[in-house]
Amino acid sequence: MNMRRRVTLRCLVDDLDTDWSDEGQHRFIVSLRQKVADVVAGDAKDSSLGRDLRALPGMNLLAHPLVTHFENQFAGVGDHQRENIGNLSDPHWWKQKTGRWRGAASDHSRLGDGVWLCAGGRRTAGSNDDFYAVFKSNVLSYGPEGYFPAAEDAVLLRAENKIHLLDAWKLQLQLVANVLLADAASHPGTTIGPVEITTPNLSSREDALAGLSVCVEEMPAGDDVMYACLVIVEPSMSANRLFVTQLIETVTAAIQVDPAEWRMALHGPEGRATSHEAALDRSHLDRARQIRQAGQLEEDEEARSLTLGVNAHYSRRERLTDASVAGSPVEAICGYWFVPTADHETRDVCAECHEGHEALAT
Amino acid sequence: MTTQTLPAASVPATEIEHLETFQKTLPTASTLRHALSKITDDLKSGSDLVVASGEETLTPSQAAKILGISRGHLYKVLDSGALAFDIVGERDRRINHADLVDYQTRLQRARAEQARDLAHRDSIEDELLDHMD
Repeated sequence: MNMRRRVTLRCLVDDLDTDWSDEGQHRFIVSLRQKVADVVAGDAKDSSLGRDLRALPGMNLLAHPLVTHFENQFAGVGDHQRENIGNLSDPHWWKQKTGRWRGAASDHSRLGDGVWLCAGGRRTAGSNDDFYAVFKSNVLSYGPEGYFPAAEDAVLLRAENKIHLLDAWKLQLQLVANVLLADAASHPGTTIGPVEITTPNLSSREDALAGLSVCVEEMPAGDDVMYACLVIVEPSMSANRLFVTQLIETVTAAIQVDPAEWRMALHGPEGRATSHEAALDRSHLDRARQIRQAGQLEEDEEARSLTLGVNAHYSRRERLTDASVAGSPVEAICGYWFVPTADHETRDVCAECHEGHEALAT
Repeated sequence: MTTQTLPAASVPATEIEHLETFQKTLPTASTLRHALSKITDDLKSGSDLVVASGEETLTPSQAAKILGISRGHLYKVLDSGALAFDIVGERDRRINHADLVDYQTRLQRARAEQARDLAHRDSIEDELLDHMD
């Protein structure tokens, strides 16, 4: 048995009001619940939950003893004896018991998919069954629905599903990019692709996003050989600009993580497509071939994105002053476009910029 | 061939100084002063210059240099139809200077936008969630 484990927001916030091993996490959940309420009310969108959800482990991995116990019970490790609370049925409720905490969980279909931890409470001295008795009496008097996952839980689940889907989509793109690169490296001068990339959706609808192609050409460099890699992205007519932006970021990062190594050009007669060029060495191609052969990314290869600020870049002074104030992009002496940040002092300076800057100073 | 390439290394520092002294005699709002200051900046930072009038044409190598991309990349751009060119002689390509300036302007805008997107990628990633139903 390996069901998706979920905990209702009501239970996390109202019932599990103490004993968190990370008290900050509880406060975080309390504020998250407020943001979720805004989404339920239509005052905010799923995007408002993105950053918080990425900062949290799954709802089933939060730092509370009852949640940990629930997770261990249902995570599919070992065989657990389950005890029903007060012979309730439709739905049934499983007893959750750890230390002084008691809880109620159910995998009944009335609650939706997976198994839910819906209520919790502390055992008070002298009685082992306080929580279960109160729970049973509430269910019998008012019905079980008050404990069921609510609209807020559905919103949270939807947002989490989207994030998982987006992450899976990005991993898939990294894989596709490396497979195309490996094939292009085996056929220098030939453009491999386009491969049709679709937008990630919760529904099974497949919206064409862009065609992706890769071409590699060998460049003699002294005794060694370098490789000019060209990635071509051709957005479909209905493509959402944001997804195209994300596609380009993910695909280029999968090949070469330093954005300053890439040069973009506008491609195609309509000026909607772009081509992205980077000089690669043998190690980049070897890595792509390994990934292609394994058919998957290494663990530590997962979730690669462009690494900002690998080197510091110089721009002409007057442009830089304007940009730092407004947060606008500037062109560095080496031709790389970037938005200046204040933390450049600790970094090595890009060699090309350094040379150009020295020359300017004389 | 009317376009002229001026390698930065071929210009002595004393000549650049002369040019700089002269440009400072022009009014600060002068467009000529701005153009000359770009020339001195570029020469000082070691960038080769391509000098052309609006009517003139550039070779692929010159165009690639201006756009900051490799020649191979430029040929792909030309083949894609993104930038117009003429064929001279057997098969040599020439790019009209005005076309290149127009392309470069759009390209610099796109590069600036890409840099801005990258700086704000966290919010872009959040925003994607609103387009995944």
